[in-house]
Amino acid sequence: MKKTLNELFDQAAPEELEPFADALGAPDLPPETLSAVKEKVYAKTGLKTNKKSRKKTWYRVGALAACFALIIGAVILVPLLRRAPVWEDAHYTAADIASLFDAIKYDGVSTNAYTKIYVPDTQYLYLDPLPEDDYFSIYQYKNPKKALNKEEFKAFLDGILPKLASAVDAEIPSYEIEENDTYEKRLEIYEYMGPYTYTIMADQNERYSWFHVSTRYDGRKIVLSGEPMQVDQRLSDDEIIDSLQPIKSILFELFGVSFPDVKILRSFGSHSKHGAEWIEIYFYDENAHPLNRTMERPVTDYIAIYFDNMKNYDDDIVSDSVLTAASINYYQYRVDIASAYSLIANAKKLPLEDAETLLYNGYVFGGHSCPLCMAAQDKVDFEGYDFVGLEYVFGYDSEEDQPTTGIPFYAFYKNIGNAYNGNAVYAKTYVPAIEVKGLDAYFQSQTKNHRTGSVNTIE
Amino acid sequence: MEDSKLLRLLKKDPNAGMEQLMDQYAGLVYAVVKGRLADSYHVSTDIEDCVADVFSQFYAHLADYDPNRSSIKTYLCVMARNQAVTVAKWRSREQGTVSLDEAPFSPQLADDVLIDSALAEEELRREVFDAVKSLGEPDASILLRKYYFGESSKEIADALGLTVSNVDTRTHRALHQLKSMFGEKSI
Repeated sequence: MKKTLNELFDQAAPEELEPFADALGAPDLPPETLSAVKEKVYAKTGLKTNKKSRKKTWYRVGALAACFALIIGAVILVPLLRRAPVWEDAHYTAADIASLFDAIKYDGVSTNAYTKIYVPDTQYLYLDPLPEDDYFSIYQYKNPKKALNKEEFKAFLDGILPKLASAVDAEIPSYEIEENDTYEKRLEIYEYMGPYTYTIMADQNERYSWFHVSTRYDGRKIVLSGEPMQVDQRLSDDEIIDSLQPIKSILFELFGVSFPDVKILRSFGSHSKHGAEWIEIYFYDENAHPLNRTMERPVTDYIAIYFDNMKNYDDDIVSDSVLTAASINYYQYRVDIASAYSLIANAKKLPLEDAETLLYNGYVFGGHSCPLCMAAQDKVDFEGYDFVGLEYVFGYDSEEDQPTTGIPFYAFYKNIGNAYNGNAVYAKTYVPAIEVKGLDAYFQSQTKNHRTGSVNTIE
Repeated sequence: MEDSKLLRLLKKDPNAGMEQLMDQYAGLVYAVVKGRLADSYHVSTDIEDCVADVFSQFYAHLADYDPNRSSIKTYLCVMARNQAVTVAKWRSREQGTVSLDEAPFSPQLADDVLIDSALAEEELRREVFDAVKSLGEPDASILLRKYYFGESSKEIADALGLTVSNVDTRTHRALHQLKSMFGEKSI
């Protein structure tokens, strides 16, 4: 083999250059050149353009779920709205409940006429029977805060790290607690551990402490005390729960907790032929708060294992059977989270038949509530819808990064065919499950707001 | 900023993280790219575009970076080198009759050393780099600057506080040593 020195440098891997790292130096760029480079990077990456660019790591797996919960649209195509029912005694206005969905504006997600849900089987719509109560509880999140406390955070970490180190047969990582006040005040660590380079992250903010362990998705598993962190998606939920018993015990020991309940959520897409794109497993206490029975995800302390089955990079491992790309997340609230979500009202339930009237006449809520924009989407006729469920939708305080008031909605599902991978496609749209006033006024105001949009006339 | 802190910042606050990353390493990446593209047909915007591509790709594939394998600095250097070579290939093809496969990957430097070895490529690189390192300073840095960054003797002399003739002499002597180790016989 004949190579020049120049060629050898060309083909060097990063680690082979490491001995020369100290000698790898260069003068600073002139400010105008640096600015030009930065502008190009921002244009290519979309950075510096999002109003709310911070995405917590734990949102990664929840992103799709957030879309389900927050990007809601509807389907109704009515060039002229019919006159809406009038419930003048209602506590909330249509504008009030529409504002719950403002979060999508902060996250820059485009609006849709309806949300498409992909499932191989209707059991994964996770629909519970509609409650028979005459009133629905309205919850408001009060966002309690507790001052950051480094000693408390250190005790939190020191309670976990030695046990984790022992479980993965690694040395206890030395860590440095750092203060960060970007977007919110928090203490944090970011370390690596063990032969498989587990990523260790932990935060303490004014509401909770969070501990995270993950590994890359290239086939390296998290192994705790000899138990591989993996799940076979071919199994039923009950079988998965059984298979995770050893891991559950290890996690409870690791975090010093015990939760009586477990919940599994599987998220599916339209293209992957490898089954679920994500599987989320929550260990929690369902009785710790009534919302734990209603919300998809617990609102109180929990341990979550997220299994990722998406091929983002060439070496990501995806499988239609055993999933190994896992991350472990433990949330321990520092405030009384149960009282933080307080019951502020009992609102009179809107009977299902009245909700159907709203649905068929275009009074639906979601990403935004403009009938004209909805009309620009492919039409879906919800007459003869397939399923209806009840969901609480919480508003979102962009400053505090927390949900605010939670309102119950009927979620209507209509089958609209099959996706590329064979999954059934359901259109999903929302109608309030409580009486609201000012429907006509609100929807008319929306049509005016959108006169300059892609659909710009109304007769 | 240390790599661990920089990574944390990138994951927690991508805007601030990328700002810091570019402040810290844009000069280095620029130097690597310029060493490959600074010839008659590569204008400065080509170099800026290439540097921007390196940082954009680093951000887009942040999950691929393994801190156990290398520092961010060397990782970026390799990305920069590869990106610049790709750009050079495309430019060569656009401007002449050279096919993409035939386009120059490593321009031959007049006084480069040709190493003839029976070793596998990866092992050969390790042996040669160890040898370069064993030359000591400033000779190792001179070879790195000349053959990695493509700097001229004048640029190296200015950077290291040497005279041009001293750089040339040291380069000649270092290459001779490498030749005696690798160039004239198979290992």
